Amino acid sequence: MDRTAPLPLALLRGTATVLPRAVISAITAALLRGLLKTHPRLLENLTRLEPAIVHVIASDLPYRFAITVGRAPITLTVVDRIATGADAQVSASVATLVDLLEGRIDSDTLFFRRDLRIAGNTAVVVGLRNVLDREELSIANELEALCGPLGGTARRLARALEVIADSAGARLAAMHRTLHPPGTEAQDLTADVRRCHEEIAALTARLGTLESRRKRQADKIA
Amino acid sequence: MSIRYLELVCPAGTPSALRTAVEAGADTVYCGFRDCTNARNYPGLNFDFDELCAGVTYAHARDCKVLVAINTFPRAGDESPWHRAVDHAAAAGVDAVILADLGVLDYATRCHPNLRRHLSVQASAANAPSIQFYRDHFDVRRVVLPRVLSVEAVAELIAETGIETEVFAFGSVGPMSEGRCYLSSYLTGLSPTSEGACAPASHVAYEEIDGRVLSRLGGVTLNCFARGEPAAYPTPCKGRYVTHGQASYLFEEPVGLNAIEILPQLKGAGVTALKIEGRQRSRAYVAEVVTTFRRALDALERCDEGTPTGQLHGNTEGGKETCGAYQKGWR
Repeated sequence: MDRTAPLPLALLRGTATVLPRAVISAITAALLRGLLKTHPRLLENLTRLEPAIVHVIASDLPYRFAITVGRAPITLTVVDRIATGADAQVSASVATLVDLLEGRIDSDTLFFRRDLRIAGNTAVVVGLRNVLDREELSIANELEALCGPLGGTARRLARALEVIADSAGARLAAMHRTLHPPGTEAQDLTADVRRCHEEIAALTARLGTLESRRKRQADKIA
Repeated sequence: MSIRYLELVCPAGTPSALRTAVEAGADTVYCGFRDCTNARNYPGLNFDFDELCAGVTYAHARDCKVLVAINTFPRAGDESPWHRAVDHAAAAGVDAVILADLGVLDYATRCHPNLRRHLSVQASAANAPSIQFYRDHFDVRRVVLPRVLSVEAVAELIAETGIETEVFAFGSVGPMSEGRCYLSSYLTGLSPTSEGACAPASHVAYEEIDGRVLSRLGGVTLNCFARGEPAAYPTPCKGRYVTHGQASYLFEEPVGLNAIEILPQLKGAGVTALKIEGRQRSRAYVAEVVTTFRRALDALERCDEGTPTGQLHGNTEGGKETCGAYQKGWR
């Protein structure tokens, strides 16, 4: 797969939400096996970390991922949204987590912006971040590889579905705008401006009257 | 290597960051070994000997230099990791080592006389007699200046010492006396100057309460960020402390150093090299910052009007930037 091509995230997130837990578990386990196979130093470096379980919480998915590091075998499993027992937790949206994993965004920058939350053993999280950033990972490539000879077809299909989904989303948004025009506030604003103009005109007239009266009184005194 | 304008010295915390920096236009990259001999000794970071050798080959093939920071201070009676690091750097064919400790400088001078030596900012050499001492006794060829000098002071030092200088262009403001700061040791029991990690991750903890984030180091709360407020590193110098009933930044506010607006002044001062800080940052940071500075330096070389300055404030602590001491308006 073209490394620069974006992962069809909306499709991925939608699929990950509706698929049965067992299927998601099987895919994530296969994904990890693929990553460790294509990046042999990744396994070595993950094993060198302090032994720990890290929960990766995608804020827009109904479950968590649990990764064990610091001992063989390294595992990646799907656990319940409210699962406990982690030594550390990392939370962000799916899109942010994928960008992090594929090296498109800096984790410290996310932390400064408060778009990434960490809790528990900070050393483990820092170590995991550094070990992953050492590799040039591509989830899209790994997912395509999982599909074997049908990988290319799956990629094209995924992209087509993403385009269709984007297009449908845009049409729905347009329909929503038609049914719920955002003009209410603007109309109120226009009315307010008109009222202001009328008040200014009235005040100007009043001022003119007062000015004339003052002038007449001044002439009378003179 | 041809110095296109000011030499751009870029961070490489990992082999992938090294490749990223080279591809983004670094003239030079700097890195460290996976141990206490460098001041970025964080888990999962840095190079082993084989990775360094591969990195040197990769960089040299693309006309880029490699420096190795061996810039912490040996523990009494345990100098061997530092000596081994110097030996390995020399064996890997690096272009220079960045040293701070007198003993390590002496070892490198005696055992590897042809290995170019730079003085780390950790040595905190900020005046002419100090720099001349290192230059004359250890043939130090370049000094990395602490971030406490104005552009005028930098120019005076260069004129007085005649030595190559490297100054920080992007990263932390760093007003502390570098290499001599023990605030972190006080809270953690670990020395940043000999263990290689200020605010070591093993002693850092975050807790979120009702949208506010508390950062702690060694059990001491250093800061509390309100919902939506930009966060900062959990270092004692950037802690928000309560005095007279009011919380404020006593030492340093979470603001990043960005000298991209004053590159002409730094060039005019006679600076040789610009250092981008951030070996502990991801390669995405390296790509963005190095690319931006490369464009700015190339534009400056062409004497283009309106040097591109990019939008780097998103990468800085607190989302804010300053020229720091270079343009200091305080006494």
